[in-house]
Amino acid sequence: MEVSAWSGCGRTRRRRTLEMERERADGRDGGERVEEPLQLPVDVFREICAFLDLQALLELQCVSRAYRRALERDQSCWRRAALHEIGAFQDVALCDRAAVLAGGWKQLLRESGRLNRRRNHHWDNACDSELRAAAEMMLHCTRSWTQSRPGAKTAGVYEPALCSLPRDDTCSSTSSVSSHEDSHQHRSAHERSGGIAVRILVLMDGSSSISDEDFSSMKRYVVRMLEAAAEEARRQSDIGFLVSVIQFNQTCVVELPFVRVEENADTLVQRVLSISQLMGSTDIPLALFKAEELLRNLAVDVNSTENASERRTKCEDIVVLLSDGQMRQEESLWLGSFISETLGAVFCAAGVGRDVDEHVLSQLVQHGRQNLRAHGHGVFFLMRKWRDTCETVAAHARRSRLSPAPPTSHFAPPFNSPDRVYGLPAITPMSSTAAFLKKMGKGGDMDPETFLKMQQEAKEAKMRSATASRLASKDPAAMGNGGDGDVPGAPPMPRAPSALAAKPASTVKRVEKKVRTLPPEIKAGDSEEVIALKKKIKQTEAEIQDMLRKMAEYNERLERIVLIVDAEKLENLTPA
Amino acid sequence: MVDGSEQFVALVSSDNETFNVERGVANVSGLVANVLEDVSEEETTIPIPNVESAILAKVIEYCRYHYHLQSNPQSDEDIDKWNKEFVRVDKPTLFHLILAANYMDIQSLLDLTCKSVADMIKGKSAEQIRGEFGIVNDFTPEEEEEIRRENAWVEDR
Repeated sequence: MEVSAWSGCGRTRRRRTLEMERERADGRDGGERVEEPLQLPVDVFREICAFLDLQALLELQCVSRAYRRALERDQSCWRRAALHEIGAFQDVALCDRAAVLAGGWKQLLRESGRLNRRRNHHWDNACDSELRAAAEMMLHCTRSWTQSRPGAKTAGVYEPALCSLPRDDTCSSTSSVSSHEDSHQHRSAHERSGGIAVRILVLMDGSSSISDEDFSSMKRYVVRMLEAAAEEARRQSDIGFLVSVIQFNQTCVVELPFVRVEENADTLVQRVLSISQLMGSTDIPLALFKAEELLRNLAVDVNSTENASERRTKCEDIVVLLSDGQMRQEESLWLGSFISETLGAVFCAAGVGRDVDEHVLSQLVQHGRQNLRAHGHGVFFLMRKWRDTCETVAAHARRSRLSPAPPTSHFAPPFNSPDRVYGLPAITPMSSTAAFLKKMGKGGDMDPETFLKMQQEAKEAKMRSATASRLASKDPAAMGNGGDGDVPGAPPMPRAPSALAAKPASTVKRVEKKVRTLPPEIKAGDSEEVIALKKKIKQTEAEIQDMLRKMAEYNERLERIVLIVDAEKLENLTPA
Repeated sequence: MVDGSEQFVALVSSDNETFNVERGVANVSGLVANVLEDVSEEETTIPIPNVESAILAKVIEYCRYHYHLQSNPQSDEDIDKWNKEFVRVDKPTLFHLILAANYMDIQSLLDLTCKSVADMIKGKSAEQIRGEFGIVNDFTPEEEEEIRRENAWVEDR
């Protein structure tokens, strides 16, 4: 028997019908009939677009009006392609918000300038929309918690007179803290009574490991945060945002004491932009410790004032660390436990810099999430990052070496895979390092990673052999006689005793110690001539050590430069 | 599972050609599976009015191969090879297959065929795409200039 009058429709058609009807109702199709790109319905055409990369989408948009219209209406394919470009660098939720702020995914990509490889091919920079989205995420990470848990931490209403730092307050035992005069006029705190005071303490890393561009990015981020906070406060009358900025190196400097944002946004922006970098070394634990102390003391001050009970309100603290996260392992361990147990604030972090340690910073944020005293979950995002060296080389090679038309395969994955990048074969074409190697006559088809690995292995092998020979010279018996023909585990072969081996062990040790003691010590009985000679040896020894240290440093830099410098320029170089 | 006592279903194409296929094979199609769920067991003829016999035959071939993979598993390479061979058809057939897969709700076939078309587009300029699919450029010179300006930000790629 036949099933009659069945009127089903396709899978994607079912999924898209409502959306298309809505578009027609809105008149977004201009009242004209929707043409069918590739003679396929628009919904099926979108299925095809799901497998296209950004470049193909852009080309397809230029084919005809119907294609352009169809692609403009389908943000999902742009999202997919944009996330492929940004995704590894940034959180997806953050990208979603940034796209809204930028006015679309294509606009976000344009704003970020990530595709302009010639201008910006070594760095991943968060654009303004991303910074703004990150700032909003940080502001909301405590608010959302407050909404779900009305009985948030009770502290005191912020009052600038009580909260501004004294000018002579010290943040470290070694140096003093300088504080700018807070010249702003503040509204009475009573106006905020019963509302939420969100105190945001920004810790800016001003050490020498932060470049000028990194520091500018930090300032741009703080500015976006101030703007977002001011806008939020204007929208929600029961929320007051107070922001303070501390710059740190081995000490801490209060660049901006706690100030109410919504009333002074423009002035604050100017003050933030005028901050100059301190340079010096980094002490992140000190900065966090001082932030905690500052927030704790402010809460105590407020609560100890008269009529405190009348002015009590919900007060939430956020500490935002802007740094490259470079610290010793023991420091990071200490910080982890400090953030998860002691710091009574939401901890957020933003990574910035060439050698940003994303792992450490995101781990610290995770520690902060375990803190029950904090009133929210912190977030981590990357503000500025040096692209992975191999990725840079691959991108460079792709741009400069590959033929424009990639080999087409019917079943090539739409995006990156281990063997394909943007639908193109991965790294195999000549990179700058490969060009360098070819120039040096060591083979042109070696890829940079292998080159670095080989260098590392050679270095380690050299160190191992040096250690082995040193041990062998110290204790020949312990090394199984140390000969080339020795079999591991075999009994030691009898060997002719050397002049040193014939002597008692104590004598050998004494002799070795003397040999190693450079420069020679000046003794009481030494003549002036000998003393002068020994001093000269000592000085030369110090100079040699210094030069060796510098050489090691330059070697390390050179390894990096070799990987990033243009292949064409390298080819023009002639090794001496 | 495939066994000898399996029931058959008749699929009728738009040009009234009937294809008798095992129920399991027919159930690969979401459309057929839904219809079979809704009707009594005696009703075994299902019209597929939007699909021509030549295309329906290809779709059934796809469904049969993938259905039998359940009982006779093959390596991923072999499956990929078969899939590649399956979509090595002319463009009109490929587009009809896309439409049929969409209509008959066979997601894996839809993905396979869409990927195939996407691969034809990738790496080509707008002009080459027009040539490949016989599309007429209906932009005015001003519009083309505007688009070029709009996309100037990726010119350095």
